[in-house]
Amino acid sequence: MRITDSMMLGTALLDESRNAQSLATLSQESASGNLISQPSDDPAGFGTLVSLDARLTVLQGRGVAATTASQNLDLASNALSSASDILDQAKQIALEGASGSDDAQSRAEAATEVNGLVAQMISLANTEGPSGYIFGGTLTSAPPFDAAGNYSGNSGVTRVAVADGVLVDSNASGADAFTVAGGSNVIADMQALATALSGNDVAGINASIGQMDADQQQVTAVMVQAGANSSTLQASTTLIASLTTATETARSTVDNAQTPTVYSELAATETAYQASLSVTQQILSLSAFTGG
Amino acid sequence: MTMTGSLFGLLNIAQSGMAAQSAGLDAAGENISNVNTPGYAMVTANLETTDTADSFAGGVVVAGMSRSFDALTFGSMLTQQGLGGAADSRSEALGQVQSLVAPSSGTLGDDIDSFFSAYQTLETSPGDASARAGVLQAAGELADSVSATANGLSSQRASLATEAGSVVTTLNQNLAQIAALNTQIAAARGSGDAPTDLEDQRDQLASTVSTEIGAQVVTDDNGDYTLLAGGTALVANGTAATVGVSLDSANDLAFTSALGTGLPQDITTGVTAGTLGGIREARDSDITTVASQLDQLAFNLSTAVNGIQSAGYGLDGVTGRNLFTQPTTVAGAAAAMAIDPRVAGDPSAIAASSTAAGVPGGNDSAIAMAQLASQPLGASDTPADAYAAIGTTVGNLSASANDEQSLRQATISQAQALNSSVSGVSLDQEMAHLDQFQRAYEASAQVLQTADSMLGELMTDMQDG
Repeated sequence: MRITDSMMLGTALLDESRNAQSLATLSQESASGNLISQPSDDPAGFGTLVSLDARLTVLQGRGVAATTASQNLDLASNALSSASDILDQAKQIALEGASGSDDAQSRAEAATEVNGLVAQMISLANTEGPSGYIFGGTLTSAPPFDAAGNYSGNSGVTRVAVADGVLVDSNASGADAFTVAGGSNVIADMQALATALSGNDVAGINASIGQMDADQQQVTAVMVQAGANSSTLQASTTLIASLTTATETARSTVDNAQTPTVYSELAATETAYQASLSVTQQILSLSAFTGG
Repeated sequence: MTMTGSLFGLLNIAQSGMAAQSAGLDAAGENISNVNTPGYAMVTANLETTDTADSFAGGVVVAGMSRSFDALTFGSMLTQQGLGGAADSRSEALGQVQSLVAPSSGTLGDDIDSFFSAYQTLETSPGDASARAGVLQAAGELADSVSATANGLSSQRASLATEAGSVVTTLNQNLAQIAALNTQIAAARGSGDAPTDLEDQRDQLASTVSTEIGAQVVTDDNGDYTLLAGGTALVANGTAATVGVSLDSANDLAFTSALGTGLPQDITTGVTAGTLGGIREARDSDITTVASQLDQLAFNLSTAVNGIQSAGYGLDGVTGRNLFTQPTTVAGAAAAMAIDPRVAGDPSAIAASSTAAGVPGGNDSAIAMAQLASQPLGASDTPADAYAAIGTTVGNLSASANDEQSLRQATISQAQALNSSVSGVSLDQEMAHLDQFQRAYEASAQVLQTADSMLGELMTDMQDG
């Protein structure tokens, strides 16, 4: 084959161009630390990254939702615990009021004390969290109990998703804890105790003692359920965190450039590029013409 | 032959030798001067011994200059240049598609993730105004992003149509020049000249035309010249075709060709090579494939989201409102994607509860919406997977176009090398030719000097005698 100057130069320039392209790609990978900066770098890998990124966003959102809901339930649990304590105090007052040593005067004073506890109970039942009144069911924008203890909330249940198709309750039912929906009307029962005390009605007071026990169990049952749901949500956040780590690992396997590999490839390509430049220079200097 | 006649013959032979070697030096000089001229084919001085019937028998005559040209290697180069032109323009167009569909940051995938993430926030705070505003903002950004991507693809198709028009304009100029050169070459040949420079220009133009549309050249023994491209003759001797480009009813490129005064004929399906072939494939096949996928994603996503939103209740207790303007057809769904006017600017219109009684704390609609992120839309893909499929399509198209471009760079280089092996200039070879013809010229001059000296002696002897 007859060799001409343009043939030699053309081949050298093509090789030089290829080496420069490889150098640019490797430089980009080593600078960014990523193997995939655009879909054409690895079309299937790009698709995998998009899916994994979406998965990570969902997991992150579920983690935040589970944590927020858990905090909400803890708030409800604490409020219900305080409500249980109040019912305990009311029961103690009822026990004292039912004893023969108390007179009408001391029972009237006890009634005042119970009325104070009723106000505290209403205040607890109107506890407000970051997303509204926590015992109003889904009616979270207004206090569910008025000053007289009448309930205006509902039995609506809110949930959060912690996994595909897995929902956990994220609110404690105020209706079940404080109203007849859960068995009896706790606030009305306390008001009945206050009425019995102020009316010096020993039979009524005695009846309230058992009712306070039943009410306490009613409140405690909702508190236990809220605590259990909170625990489930906390366990979910741990699971979500480990799933997030696994997904991030899968992502880095697809996208992260292995530094030592990229570095050695970069060094090898640099050498090849330098060599191709030298070859080009040599071709340009090789000639039977002396140049003067 | 007498002695005197022989000496005069020697003088003529020497003179013919000097003229012939000068022609060789001229050829070497021309070759050296044009070593870097695109399209230049090496020339050789054709030297022949003079006819024995001639009075200068034994001398040399310059029978003309010939180009070193091989139709096979030149044709192979044209083929590769046509394929290379297509690969270059397609690769460039797909690079732009890639930057539209998958920019280095803020991709459509990110907007889809943000949209569902906003619903996850709403899930825990369905009555919260900022969570609702977050949903509305994310939905707006998603709709804008989908619509901007679709409009970007449409704009790129429009730009490629404009570019095709520019290439066709240049192509027609080149075809006209080739036809004009054919006329000049025929005239020069008719008068016995060797128009190598005109042939160089014509081959260079044919090479450019091939890069533009993919061409082949056929010449016969009579010197008839035909340039074929797009499945038809675009130049026939001194007649050039006029190529036209327009948009058909489907908004695809349509190419026509009219040779001389002939009627335009449709050559669209034949335009598969050269810049125009690459533009056509990128514009009317690759980009439309991507745009269709985007439309399908927009249609499926809007329909699924609207199904949940319209069945739910806003904070104001109103139901039956879509989040996105519901597209009626898949085609055009992406470009038209926008927030429904009944919801736009009103975060309270976002439905988080599936019942009126559930407002404001009910979150089942918000949960259902957030769970769409992990559920198939339409056929089988989740929203993110549908975007991933678009990205993978663009990536595969772009990667294959880039691979094709690299392959064609190599095959063009190889074809040019083969063609250069026949037609190219080797400076070393020309250096040898310079030496060769210079020495021969000096020798012929020496012959002339010797003959002159001998004639001088003969004249002196005759005068003395």
